[in-house]
Amino acid sequence: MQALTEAPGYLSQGEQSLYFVHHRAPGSCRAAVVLAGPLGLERAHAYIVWTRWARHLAARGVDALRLDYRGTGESTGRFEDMTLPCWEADLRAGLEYLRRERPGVPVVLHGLRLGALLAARVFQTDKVDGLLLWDPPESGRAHLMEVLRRKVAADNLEGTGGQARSREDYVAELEAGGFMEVEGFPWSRGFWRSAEAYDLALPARDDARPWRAVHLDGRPAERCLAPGHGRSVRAPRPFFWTTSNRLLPELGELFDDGASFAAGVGAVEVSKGASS
Amino acid sequence: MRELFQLDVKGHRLWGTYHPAAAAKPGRVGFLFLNPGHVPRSGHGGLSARAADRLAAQGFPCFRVDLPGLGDSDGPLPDTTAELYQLVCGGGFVEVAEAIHAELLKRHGLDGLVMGGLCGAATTSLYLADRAPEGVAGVFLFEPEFYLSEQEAANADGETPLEDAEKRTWRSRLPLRRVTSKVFSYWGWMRMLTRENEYARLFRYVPFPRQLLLDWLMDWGRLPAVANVPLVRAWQRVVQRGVPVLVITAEGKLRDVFFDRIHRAAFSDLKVAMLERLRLRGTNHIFTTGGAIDACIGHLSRWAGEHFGQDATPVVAVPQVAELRSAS
Repeated sequence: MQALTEAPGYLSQGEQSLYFVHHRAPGSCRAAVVLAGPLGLERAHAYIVWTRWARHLAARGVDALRLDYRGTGESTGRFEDMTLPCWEADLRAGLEYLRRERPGVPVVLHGLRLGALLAARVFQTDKVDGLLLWDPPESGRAHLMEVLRRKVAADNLEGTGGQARSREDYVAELEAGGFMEVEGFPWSRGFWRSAEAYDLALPARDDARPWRAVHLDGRPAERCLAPGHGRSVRAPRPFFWTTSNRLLPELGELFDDGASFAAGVGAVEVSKGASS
Repeated sequence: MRELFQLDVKGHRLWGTYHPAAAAKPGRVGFLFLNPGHVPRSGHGGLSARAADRLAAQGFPCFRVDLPGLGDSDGPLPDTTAELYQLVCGGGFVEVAEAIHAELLKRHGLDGLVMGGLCGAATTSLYLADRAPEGVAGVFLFEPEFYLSEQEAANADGETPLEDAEKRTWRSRLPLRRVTSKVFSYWGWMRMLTRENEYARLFRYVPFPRQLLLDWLMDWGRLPAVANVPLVRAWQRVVQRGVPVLVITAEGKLRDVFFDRIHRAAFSDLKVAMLERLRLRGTNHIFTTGGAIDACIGHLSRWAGEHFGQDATPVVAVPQVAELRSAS
């Protein structure tokens, strides 16, 4: 049976409730991480790994806070009212919570897929001590187009979703103000437009805070997105956020790398405090 | 409104979400949703969460619980989805589901719970409705799976599975096996004919209709060799007892075709007055396209009002479905 250090709850976000699960590190806490997860079917497929990742962090002395963006999962709110900046606000609420719960402990943002885009944005504007990105898309629009491609492919293959349409047809419908059902969620024009010009916001060169972008496809170092901050790990395919036959893929290298990064942010903070 | 709760049952700490009824009435019936396969308790596209919100607004308290190892509940899990599927097909979650059911009835003073959900949730709920009929007021089954995996079916027929090392040699000797296994595989053909594998698109160019081939492959009068017989027997007993049952399937897909065959083979002499069968057109197994989530919630809400509501107002169903009510 799990220890009492793992507890779900709700944070108030205006009229809505933001669902979270706080994985507390037993004993002293070296750092605290807000986990910004993926969206839609990627969330559903990744959930088991994501939960185990949070437990992995907690077991290594790092608090982890998982949350469901408003309009998704256990959080309340209507998906059709949501935009990417709304979900940035959800991450900020998570950061506030961890700062309250763990005063003085360094706080890290960690994003996977769409969550990486959101986390990078919040890292730019907020006082966060570290940033970890797993498989970040190049932009919000590129990510949504990838999800639309999956929808078109699945509908065409299975003969579902009504009359066959292309991605461009769907985009035109969204731009015209219609709602589009994608992976069971109603995308709105507001949601679609919020992803426009939403590029991956990598930290500036003079930003001294630690950050790392991890590619999971095992690409060579020279193809990493952020020289000096990139890391490449070969995760089992298909990736755990897609339809995979493996519930518990071997991700030890990825988990250990991420946990040591988060714990290292805490060590940097401690040494800064000691020298000042 | 949603509240979180914790259950300690059978050595597991489980987490769940409670949707209190809009207007509480004593001695009422509630709804319990279980995990659809390995997916967390909110369901694909939020199906379970949204359905529970709707039913709670109608006056039914609703509960969604993560089974051990799934969603937010800790617990052991097999390594692969195929092994999880076998576990579910064999009733591996029934004991803990029974304990959840009993605890929720006790905590909330309910007369009964209507249980169900999509895929694996349907399997576990049906087993439980058969095994512990007291307090199971009804069952709702979305895309129920009445068949075993290929491996299990082979084992059930007395075939011995190959040893791992032998399997590896076999694969390495015959790299074309992936293709030939589909050509000569019952499952490969079934998935292709129901457009659920990567070769399904070929059927656009095949000059004979899929349904004819399906009819030719199917022996409608007998249970298929791959049928999950214990589950079919449970299904017969539950329906025969007159428990209200709602079955919703994706029209033309694998579970839909199998359900039809099971239905014809196993129910020819059964009274099925309390069974309602609906087919959703143009959607997939997880109901995430073709407006199926809205349609499914609409039907569940109406069905709940008709069978379990006293003064609850039935909600009109969303009109993009083909409705085929069973003959009573």
